[in-house]
Amino acid sequence: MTIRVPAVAWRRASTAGDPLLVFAVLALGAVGLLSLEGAVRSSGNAGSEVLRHAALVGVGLLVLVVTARIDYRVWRPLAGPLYVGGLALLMVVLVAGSEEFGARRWVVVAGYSLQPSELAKLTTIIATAAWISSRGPTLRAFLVALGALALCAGLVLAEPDLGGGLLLVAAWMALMVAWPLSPRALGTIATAALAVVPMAFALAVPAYQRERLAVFFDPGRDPLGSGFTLRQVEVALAEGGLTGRGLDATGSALAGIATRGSDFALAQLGEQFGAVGALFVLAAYGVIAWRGFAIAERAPDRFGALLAAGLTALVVVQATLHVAVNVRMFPATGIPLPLVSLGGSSLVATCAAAGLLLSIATRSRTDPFERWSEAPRRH
Amino acid sequence: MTEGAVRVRLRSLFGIALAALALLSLQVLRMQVIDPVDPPALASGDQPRVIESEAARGLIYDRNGMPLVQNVASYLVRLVPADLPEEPDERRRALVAIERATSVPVSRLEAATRDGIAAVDPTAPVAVHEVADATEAIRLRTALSGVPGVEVVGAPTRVYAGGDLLAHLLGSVAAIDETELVAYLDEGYPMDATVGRSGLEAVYEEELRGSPERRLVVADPTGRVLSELGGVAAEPGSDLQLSIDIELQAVVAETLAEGIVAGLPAAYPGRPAPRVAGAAVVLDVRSGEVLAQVSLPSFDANALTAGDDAALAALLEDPARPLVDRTYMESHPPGSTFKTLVAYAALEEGVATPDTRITSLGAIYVQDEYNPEVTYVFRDWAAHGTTDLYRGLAVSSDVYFYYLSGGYRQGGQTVFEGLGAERLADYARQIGLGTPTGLDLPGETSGLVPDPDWKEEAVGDPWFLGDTYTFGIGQGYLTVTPMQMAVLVAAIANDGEVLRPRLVRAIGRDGEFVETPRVVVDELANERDSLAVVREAMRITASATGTAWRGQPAGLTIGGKTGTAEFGAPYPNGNYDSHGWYIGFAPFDDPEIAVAVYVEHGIGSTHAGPVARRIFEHYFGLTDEVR
Repeated sequence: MTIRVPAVAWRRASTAGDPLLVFAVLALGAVGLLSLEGAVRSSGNAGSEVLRHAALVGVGLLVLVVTARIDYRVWRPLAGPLYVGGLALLMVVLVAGSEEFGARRWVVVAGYSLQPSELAKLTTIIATAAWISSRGPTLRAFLVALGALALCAGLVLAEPDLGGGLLLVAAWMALMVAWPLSPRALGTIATAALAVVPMAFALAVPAYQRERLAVFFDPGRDPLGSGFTLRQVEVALAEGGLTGRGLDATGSALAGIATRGSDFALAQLGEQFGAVGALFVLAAYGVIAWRGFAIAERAPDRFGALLAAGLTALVVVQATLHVAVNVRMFPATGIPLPLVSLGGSSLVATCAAAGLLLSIATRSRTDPFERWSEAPRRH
Repeated sequence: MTEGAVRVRLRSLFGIALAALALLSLQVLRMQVIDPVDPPALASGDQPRVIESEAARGLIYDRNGMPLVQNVASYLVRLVPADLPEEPDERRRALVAIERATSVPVSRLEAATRDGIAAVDPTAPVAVHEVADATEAIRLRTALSGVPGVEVVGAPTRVYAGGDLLAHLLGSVAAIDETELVAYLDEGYPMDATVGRSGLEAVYEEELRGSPERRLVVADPTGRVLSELGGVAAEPGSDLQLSIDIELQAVVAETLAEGIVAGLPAAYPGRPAPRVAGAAVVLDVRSGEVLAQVSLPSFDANALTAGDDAALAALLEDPARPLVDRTYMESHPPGSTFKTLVAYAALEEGVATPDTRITSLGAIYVQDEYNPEVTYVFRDWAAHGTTDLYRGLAVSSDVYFYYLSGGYRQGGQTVFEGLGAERLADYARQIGLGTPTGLDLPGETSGLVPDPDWKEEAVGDPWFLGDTYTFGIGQGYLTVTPMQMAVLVAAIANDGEVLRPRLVRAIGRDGEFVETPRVVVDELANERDSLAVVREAMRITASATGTAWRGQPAGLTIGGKTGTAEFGAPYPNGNYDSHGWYIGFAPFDDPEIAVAVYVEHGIGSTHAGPVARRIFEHYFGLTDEVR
């Protein structure tokens, strides 16, 4: 016979949520700070750069704690407005955003440049989870979810941010799998996606991105431009070896590559801490995947389950794509390594995702026989 | 759907994630431990870097192959901040050594390693000292060998021939302006590049620059190249062959200066001093090539490139504005030279025939449309009596052209049907007025062709008959550039082709030139062969009995027309300051060149005419004054 614990006491008892998940998040944040400190140590304004990133990590943790404390179910009725707000921010970027490296991805507010696509990815996942959690996988419900994705992904691609768009599509697909769409429907989507990709490539992919794709397949094509970066990334990993060449960046193969702390964070880690460090980081994402999907399984309702699955997918896919670019298994697109890379928007958004996961974990079912409150009707 | 199905799906997703991470882990192991790439042996401090050197900039020649610009050797001492020793004492020693050799103070060297480019890219060289003399450069190179972080490199500078003769046309080169830095970097320029900033140097920057040599090398801190990883060879810039004839250009400049001085009014108390200014253009009417293009006052072509700030400031403050090329950057009313176009339009539209006779008694009187008590007077510059179109143009009868443009009404009856402002404006636009000619120089003005809509909008007043009258004699709101007038004369002379003037007739390298295309912007309809009538009228105008006789040299038949456009406030005696114009073409039978002369102060016939005559004389070899 099971003893039902009074709700209030239960909540107090499990505020820890999921200690392993928290540990993985903290470990990744710490690795990012350490790596940055090494990379900028010998430059003129090392102190201020490290402080700035440390402050962002602090903000991220604060966001994590706050989202973990708030019952995730409050987001469900807010999912629609949140989604629309995310879209609006993306449009602001397109109209008034500042351009860096040839793309409009940032809005500058009070001296800080924010990347709204990071927030919009979150709100789209929340909205999709909210939408499908109370519906069975019907065609109509699917088409609405597809429309919501297309709007947001379209705006992200228009910036242009190919990596961000890919991420969002992949995380959304994970939601479709968890919904669960039938295998046949999933197969149809996959086939359709394969048909759309070449068209989208012709229409939406900017010239620099095509050049990067070309360089991916033929690094000798432009030995002084993007090919140079890729070559240096390979050299950096090789230099790192098993145990790394240490924190000191003097003589680093990545010296002079402006995006070494963001788009090539893993290569930098690999150079500093060797394969041991890189594998440790990969393992941390493995832990996040494990804990994330476990939280989804134990979630008290369908919204929680789907939300947990979508958020976990978002973080893990982002990490996977980033590493794939860094180890030359995917064409170069600017994707930061979640929780590690420079760039506050991604860091804070990932912390918010982790906080949501913890909020779901905190309220997970202790009673294995308890049913989901909103079991879907059969179709 | 059961909860179990969802659990299976979630576990599959976790499985996929785990598989992807495992695959990536294997790849990390492969790239770092099992099969790492062979990194180039980089000793500590050795850096891969891109070394760029600009290709030799293209040269500029006149149409006869006279070089107009040279690349002259000079040398720069440059710091490479990333190569300076990091250890403070050694760094200090290196900087002191550089100070001793170049006498650039250590404080300035320190600043150069911190600020500007150095803050962004410490491997980018920063110029700290300029050396003009080769021997000195060799001495420095010897003195600084072995000092890390410093290099002595050749950096050719541009030296322009002809003093102030070609300054407006050739333009200048200078360091990239900070506000445009990003755009230039996008095009692959190094931050310390020298680029065309004005004139042809700017317009033909791409052709003149060529593409730089780029080498990817591994170098040690003293700048010694250890190994080459790859590179792209330099492609020298192309040379420009101008259509300008430097000898003709010199003659035009000299004779224009004389014309300007002759036309200067005496200084008058309380009025700004008259400006010693003018412009002249000589076009080949068959090709549109610019044979001479002079704007006065001019300036020393090397002043802008040498980077002499004081000289530049003086040029900018000069009230005569020498930096403005008056052949195409500034527009003025063309005065009676515009009557050639009015005549063409009236003939084409059937408003007049060559035999149309109109009497000038020295003025016409127009009753106010609303108040019959009020009568306006439009003066002619003389009472010419009755003339046909040929004589009307030859004596430049204003009344004749009042009739052609605005018509004439008397006692409520239309006595003569004129063109009207709109039709006249259409003709003016078709021959290229009111739009830039498309000349290959930067900053061309379009001038202004007025019409009722424009006036309503810009001035806020309705268009009056009087506006049409002043338009018809080339005054009032109409403004044109000398270059536009040259194109206009050329179109009359070549029977209707409105050509795009061009300064560069060919672009190429090693003596192999590709000609730039001849561009016909528009073609006049000329359905009634009216241009032949206008040419004949211009011949009579330039003959002994016409107002333009001062432009015609002995032994050559030309077509010509003068213009004198009043401007500014009247003197107490009712007179105005005036611009003087002369346009013409020659030879009459088979036209080769068109000339447009503009003097800022003066009378068209008296002051601009002789300038045109000297130009014709030189071009057709009618005097022995060839220098």
